[in-house]
Amino acid sequence: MVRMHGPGDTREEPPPAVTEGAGGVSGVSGSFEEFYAATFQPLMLQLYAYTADIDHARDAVQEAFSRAWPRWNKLVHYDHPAAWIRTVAMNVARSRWRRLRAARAHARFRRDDIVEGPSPDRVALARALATLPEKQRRALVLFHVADLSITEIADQEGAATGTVKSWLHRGRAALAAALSDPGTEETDA
Amino acid sequence: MPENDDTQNLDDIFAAFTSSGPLATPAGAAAAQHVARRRRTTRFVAAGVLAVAILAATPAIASTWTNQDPPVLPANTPTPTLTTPAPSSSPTPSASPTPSATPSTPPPDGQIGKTELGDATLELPAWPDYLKEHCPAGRVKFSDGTAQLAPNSELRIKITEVIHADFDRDGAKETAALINCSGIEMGESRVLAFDRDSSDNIVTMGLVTGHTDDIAWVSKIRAKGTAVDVEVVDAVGEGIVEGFAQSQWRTYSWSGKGFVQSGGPSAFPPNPRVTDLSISGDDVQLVPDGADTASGTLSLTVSNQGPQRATDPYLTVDLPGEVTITSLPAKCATSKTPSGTRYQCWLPALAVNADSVVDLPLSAPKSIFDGAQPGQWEAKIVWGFTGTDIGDGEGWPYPEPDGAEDDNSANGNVLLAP
Repeated sequence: MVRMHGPGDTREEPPPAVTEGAGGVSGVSGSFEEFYAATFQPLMLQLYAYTADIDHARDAVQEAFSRAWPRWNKLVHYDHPAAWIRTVAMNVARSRWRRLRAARAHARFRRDDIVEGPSPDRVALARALATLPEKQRRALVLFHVADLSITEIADQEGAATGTVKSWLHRGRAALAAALSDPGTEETDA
Repeated sequence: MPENDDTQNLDDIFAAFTSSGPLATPAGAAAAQHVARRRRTTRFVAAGVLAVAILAATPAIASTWTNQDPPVLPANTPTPTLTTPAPSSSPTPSASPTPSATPSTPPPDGQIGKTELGDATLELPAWPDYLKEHCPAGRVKFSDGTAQLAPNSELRIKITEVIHADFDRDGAKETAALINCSGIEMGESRVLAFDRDSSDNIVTMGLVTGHTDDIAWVSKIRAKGTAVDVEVVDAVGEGIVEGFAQSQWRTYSWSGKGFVQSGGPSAFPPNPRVTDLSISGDDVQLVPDGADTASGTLSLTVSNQGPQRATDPYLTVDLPGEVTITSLPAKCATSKTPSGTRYQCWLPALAVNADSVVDLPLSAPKSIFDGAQPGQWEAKIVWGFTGTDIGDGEGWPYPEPDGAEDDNSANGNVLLAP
């Protein structure tokens, strides 16, 4: 079983918590562009929930796609290539230096956003999540936003399912408290 | 994960979070591929300017130096005083050194092998600010030629080449090492010189050269008389692209206090593959031209601000939905994208300070505008591009001058005239 590195680990290659299937590519065709088009927005949401920062999220996701491209021939045969992208993107987002490097590499490709900024509800949730400990925040994002099962999260994080349940339980309680705290909701960055 | 507590409505909050619209406009798969391709052959992004830090010469070296004649620079240039050959001198300046004053004790042997250097504790000058968190400096213990701040650091220091020459002309050779601190895409390379003191400890003479001025990477070193020859590479755009960068050998000699350039070119000529292209264009109005279709012209202006002639400008135009170009320039390829059609065309060469207007006649079924937001056209200009833009990883657009890439792409609306 492959394991995700701990928060302090900054190694380059996060082993993807996915299995290589012979041809079992579900919902993903062979085209990198189609894969990108289909997965960019869901990954943006997950990374925004994780970082509470649109720019960090966008750079991290774009950086992860950049790293996926040279390995695409291999990744395309994974059951869930998007899981690989998410893992890399979360690692990028977690390291300040990696964020800076990603921002530098991708800045010139940024589009003038025709999308409005995140809605107040989204901002409130992301900011409340940002107040949570790393493990709880990751677990909540993976469970509620990335829609992974507890077993999948446990595999990916290298933890027991009971531990993941505990993260989720405590995380939800802390999140509910943060959301009901007006100071958190209305904080202006 | 429903629970019977006050966290129950969290499920609704998360559902709302994931169900509303997109968060950001994607930069696109092509942009991600571009960065990846660039990295694959660049490997190193030249970032920041090296803060030159020359370690003070150790007292042992300084006192040795005071016994010597001042250095003659460039070190390998014969001087008039050498017209009378010294007896028993060999053709190689460094082969039989003859100090002008014999020290009371023999000079320390500063010839340190790569293996010994690679397992020694070395005094390293500070790295530039952007690497300070990642590359150790000060007294650094090497093991097997490498050193890291922590076992899981992404960057590590590596001693890649070692040469020996009598830099300070004390009759014993010293050591120069090519040392870099690098990770996946970022790093610095520098040449440092080492000697031994009278107690046989390894001491750092100083920095020979690093990423200063127009040097973006040091690729090789070799001994040249009492000097060190350094092969340096220029910074092209924001990174070093293999095959695009220029390289030069520059010579550095010990001055008694530090290393100074004593030979070879001091600057790179303009890189022949770098010129500043730009593209611009306005919104396109499509006018109904029949029962079901509308047409108009996308007019793109491509310019070359120099300094090089762009031999083969390569234009990429993305059109939305069912909007198509009805008459293409001579050398074009057409492909479908998730959101519409992509046209990739090689344009005629563009001289310095020249511009050319590319008129692309567009046509679209009127029905695509029914109640829809206007689509956008996007266009990009590069040159020196030999492959396709999608997938094969071959071909590579030439880099723009640093900071000049913003105007290499443009976009606008495709509108139906009222």
